[in-house]
Amino acid sequence: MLAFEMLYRRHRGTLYRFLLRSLRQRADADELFQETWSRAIAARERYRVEAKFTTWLLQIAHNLVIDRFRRSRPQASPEEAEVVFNQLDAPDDERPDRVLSEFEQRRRLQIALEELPEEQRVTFLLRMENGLGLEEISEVTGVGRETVKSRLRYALARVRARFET
Amino acid sequence: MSKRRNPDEDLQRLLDADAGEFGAIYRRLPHPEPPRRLDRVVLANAARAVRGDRAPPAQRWLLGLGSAAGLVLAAGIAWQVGQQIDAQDAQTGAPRSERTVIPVQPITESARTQKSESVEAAAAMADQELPAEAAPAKPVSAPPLRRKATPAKPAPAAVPPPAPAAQAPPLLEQRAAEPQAAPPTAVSAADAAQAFPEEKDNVSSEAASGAARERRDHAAGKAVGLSAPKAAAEQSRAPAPSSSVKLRQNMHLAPQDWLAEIVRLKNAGRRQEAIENLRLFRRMHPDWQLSDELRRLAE
Repeated sequence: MLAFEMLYRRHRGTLYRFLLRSLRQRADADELFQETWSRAIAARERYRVEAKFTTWLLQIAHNLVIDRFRRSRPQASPEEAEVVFNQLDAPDDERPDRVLSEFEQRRRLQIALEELPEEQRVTFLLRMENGLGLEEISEVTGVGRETVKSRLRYALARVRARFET
Repeated sequence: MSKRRNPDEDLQRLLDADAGEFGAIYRRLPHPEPPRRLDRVVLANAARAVRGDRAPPAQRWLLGLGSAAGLVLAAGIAWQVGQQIDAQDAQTGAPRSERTVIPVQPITESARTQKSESVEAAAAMADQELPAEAAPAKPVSAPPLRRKATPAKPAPAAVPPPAPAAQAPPLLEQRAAEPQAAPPTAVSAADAAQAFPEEKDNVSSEAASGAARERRDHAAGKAVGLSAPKAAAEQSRAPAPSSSVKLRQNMHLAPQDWLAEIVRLKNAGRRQEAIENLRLFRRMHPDWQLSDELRRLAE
């Protein structure tokens, strides 16, 4: 029990923020946070020691998030993301941290995250919040490495577009 | 002057250790934490799950212990009941096979009231009909009748003393040998009437009184060892038995009619019958104001 408490203290914040920023609703985040840990506890017999606990925990959370997305509304179409990606055309010297105030930068990033299509948002958050690499994101989300790269590119393009409008 | 960004370069910067420019902004975002409530819930779930892993052996152990305790308790109760039955058999001297009916206690208050009335009526009839010497020979299976009948009325002076208890077994044997051995059935009907007086009232009490009379006849004529003429003489000396059916019918009369019937019986010279009726009337209507004539008769 003590070991679990240590594990929980270590991962509770990042998991919660991943869920909160993925789902954008605190009530949903609370619910899935609890559900993620419940499933982790229930499935502890199946946990393989060689697997990274963070990856395993995030796999559970990611599956719950995707289920929630599917139930709530349809996925954003890839064409929509493509349009945004093609609009990416910004000058080198207009770096957002130079142009916008720090408060405005945070606000725009939050808005950009909320506006990202779900798959891209989740992928982006797994990189930014949890610090996962391409392989780990691929393992958590269950898609190929190239798909992860593609999603990250689209996500970056959308975020940057938000900063440049 | 703007040039198109290279997405691969942006991605590479994002995958750097500091996650590039947006990584820096992201790290400055608020860091919401899960509420304490969730911490408590999750940790409680984990603790419960850990306890649950150890619980099954303890639960199996408790189940086994509970089953064993239940068996011991049931065996103890059965042994105690057996001891009590043996003790009763030893006291009464009746073989276990004689006890064919277990007296049933009425559940409802109305049933209990009805039962007491029925028993009293039977007792009143037995007072009239039962020669004193027959009382000890009554079967064990009709305790209410025996209990009421035995102390209710002293034996008349002309009647011989009660038969010794040692003489009862021949009576029982004799009764059991008779082809139409009514007592078990009759007593069953009496007990059923006590338990369910409303349905079985008339039939069962008559059956009970008839059976009791029959047993008493046996006791008077056979168990005591009297010869037939002597028994007939005894019966002729005993007060004329009132009809139990008649008494039973009178119980259902309106109070005024019943009192008129009692007066009629008294005037017709059937004083004993009138007293019986009056005694029963006073039990059933204790608040009824009796006339002086009837009060004197009752006293």
